Amino acid sequence: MMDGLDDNTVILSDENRKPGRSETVDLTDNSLLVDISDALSEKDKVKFTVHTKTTLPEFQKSEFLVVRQHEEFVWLHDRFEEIEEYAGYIIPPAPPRPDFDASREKLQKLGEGEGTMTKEEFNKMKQELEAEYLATFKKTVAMHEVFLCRLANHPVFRNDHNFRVFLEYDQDLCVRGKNKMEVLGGFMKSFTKTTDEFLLSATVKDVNDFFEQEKNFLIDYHLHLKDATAKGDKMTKRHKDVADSYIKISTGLVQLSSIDNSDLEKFLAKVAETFEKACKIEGRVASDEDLKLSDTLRYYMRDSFAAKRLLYRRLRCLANYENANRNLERARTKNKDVHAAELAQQQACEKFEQMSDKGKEELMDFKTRRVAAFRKNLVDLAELEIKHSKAQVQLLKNCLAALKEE
Amino acid sequence: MADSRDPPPLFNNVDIDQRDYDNEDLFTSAVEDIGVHEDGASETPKLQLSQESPSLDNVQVVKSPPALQGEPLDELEKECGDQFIQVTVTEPQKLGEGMAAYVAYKVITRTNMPIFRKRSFSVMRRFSDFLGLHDKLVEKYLRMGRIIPPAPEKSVIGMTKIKMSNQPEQGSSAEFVEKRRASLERYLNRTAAHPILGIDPDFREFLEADMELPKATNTSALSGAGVMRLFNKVGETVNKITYKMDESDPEQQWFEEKTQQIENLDTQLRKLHANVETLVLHRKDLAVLTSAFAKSAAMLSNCEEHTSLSRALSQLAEVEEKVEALHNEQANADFSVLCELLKDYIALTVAIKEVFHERVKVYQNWQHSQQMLNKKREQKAKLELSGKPDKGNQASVEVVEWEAKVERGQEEFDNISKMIKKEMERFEVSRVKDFKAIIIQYLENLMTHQQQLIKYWEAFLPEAKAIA
Repeated sequence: MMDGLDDNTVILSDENRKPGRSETVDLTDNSLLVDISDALSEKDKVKFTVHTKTTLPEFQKSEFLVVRQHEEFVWLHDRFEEIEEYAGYIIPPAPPRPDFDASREKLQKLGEGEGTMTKEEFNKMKQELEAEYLATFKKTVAMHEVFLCRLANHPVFRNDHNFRVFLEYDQDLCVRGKNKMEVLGGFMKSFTKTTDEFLLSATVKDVNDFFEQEKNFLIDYHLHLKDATAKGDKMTKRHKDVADSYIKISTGLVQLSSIDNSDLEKFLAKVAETFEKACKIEGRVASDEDLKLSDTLRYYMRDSFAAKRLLYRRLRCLANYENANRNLERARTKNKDVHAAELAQQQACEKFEQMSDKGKEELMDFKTRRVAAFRKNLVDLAELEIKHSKAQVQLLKNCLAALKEE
Repeated sequence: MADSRDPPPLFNNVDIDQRDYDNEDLFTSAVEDIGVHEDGASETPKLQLSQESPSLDNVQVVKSPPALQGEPLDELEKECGDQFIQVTVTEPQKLGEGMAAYVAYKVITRTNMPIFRKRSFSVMRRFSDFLGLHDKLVEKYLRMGRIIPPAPEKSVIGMTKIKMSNQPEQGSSAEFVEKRRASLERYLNRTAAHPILGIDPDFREFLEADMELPKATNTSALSGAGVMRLFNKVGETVNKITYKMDESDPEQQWFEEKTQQIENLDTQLRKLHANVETLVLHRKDLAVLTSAFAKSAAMLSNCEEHTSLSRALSQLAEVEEKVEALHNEQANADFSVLCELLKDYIALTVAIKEVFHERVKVYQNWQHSQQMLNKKREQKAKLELSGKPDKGNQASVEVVEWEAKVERGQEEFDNISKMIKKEMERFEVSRVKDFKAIIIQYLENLMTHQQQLIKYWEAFLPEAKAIA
């Protein structure tokens, strides 16, 4: 189980993956393979084609496709959150909503500014924006896929009834009522507020040091991850802006070259070409930074939040347990309903201990996962930065050699 | 003093009267205050006149001294090939207090040109001195058809920063001073590189004279001379008759073509300049955001409980800080190398447009003289027919005068046309050279930064791999 979860989170950041090819982790376990084989972007929504291949008998067929939208993924996540039995697990965070607003805005601005630039410039910028749009698209597909894969590879979650419905039921799951979502969304928000407050103000002193430590660590860590993610995002966005301004400079140089009838004509044309290529490289740097750095931070921000939720549920469970204890004492003093109280207390105790055990495992696993993911992504990041910088150096060297020859 | 009987020439600043040329150096200002015509050499600075006028005395005044025209000019230019002069502007110092505060710069010249008294020397100059120098050069040479390198712009905001700030060494006023210093340096070197302007007496005095130059009050926006200039400019455009130039003349076509080219160049340069400015802004912003990220990563590293991951994260924070410094350097290079080059050339295209405009003015002047001549001839003919010998004589005299003016007008026009062509050739050559050199420098700079980036990330890679 641990391996499965490990490598699944690593899939997120695999640069070479095509949207739709899920890597199996544990080569011997093909019992439930889920991937997103196709995705369609339509105005406001994205439609994901979820493809399942399975040998499990619980499913009606061995291979099938359904079309799902983002809201349905969120619905699935929320179902997991609600189920008591899963309280001791870290529920994989739901994928973020597909956000093409930024791309769309840029595309619109480009359309408005069409009159002010040359045809070439317009085409180049359009290409860039389309590439950006495609990249965002691929990313959202990957995130939705990872969510499903984590569930599919989890020994307990994969058997969940709602999960099966999600994968199999070929009609729309009627979760698209916006008002419902808004209500749920509002509920969730207030939920998240109280989680932290609860955790922080827990007067219920945790017996177990491990959990006390984890609580303090996770609260802090989550905050820092949030901060780092936000700053990372801003940084990569600005990096993209730098890359984009290279295009404008390139077209400017082309125009300058075209009105020139001296040596400078060829010279400037070559420099313009170089700037165009440099733009592509810088663009790659920005998007790789986004993928390896920002996305990793973002994913673990959300995962650490899921871990916090686990702690919250456990504390609530502990509160229940303590209540049950008190009830039992009261029952004993009054000598009334003792047996019922005993039973209740026993149940509460079992539940709590189960949760604690499970919870500890999950948190250890979280750590391992996290460390592995960071390692892989930081290594990838460094390697890519080096690769791109070397490419730029080569590009510039060639350009300079060509320019100095003339 | 202009002949008061004739309607004044269309352009106040052209003194067609032969008398003054006899006394004065050709290089004295064509733009003269109306009261000064008769005084001759009064207000121009001390040194140069005494040196040049002996050679001028017996020369037909409209022709420039032989040493500075036609083939001999080329020789002079060739000579300059072995000669070298380099000017640096350094050590800006804030002097004075409050609203009277200003910045003085040290101007250091290194040269092997024999015309200078020493091989290396330095003086202190303030910004208005530079502007004053430029004005003098314009006065002397614009009419001849020279392209005068433009001086850096005045900046009210910049100067207010200087006057207001207590610590001129830091912050935005320091940035402003640095930008100005660099642009003053480029200005002087460009002027020094010109074969004629570089040895001009006013220029030499600017570089050499180890004393404060008389305050160039004419350069301040609201001075009397400034207002006069404004009036003159306005007056020039309100012509009663504009004489159209002969467009079938291939010469004229060359000028039309060039004018269009310069117009195009100006437009494209401005666009490119705006784009590079955007790049600079984005990059500077990127540096700031990278730094913010680095700090965040450092905090994350402190919080992280896994030791080797924590170490790797703190290394990441360090790398990002180094990257930030690189981004800043690159942005500064973007600006000071590329952006300023473009701005200088935009200003140069403006200077070129000015000189083309001068030529138009000279032409107008010439045509006006021609008109007057025709009128005078008619008058003379009429008077002779009507048999009034006295007035007839007077008319003859006037005809002769205007014939001379027409001749001079035509020569002036021919000369300015020739000179502009020469200057344009020179401009083209130096433009190509400048752009090539500076763009190559910029690209090399870009490459160095990328190489530095490689080093930083290569140093980080083993740290990342060491996470266990």
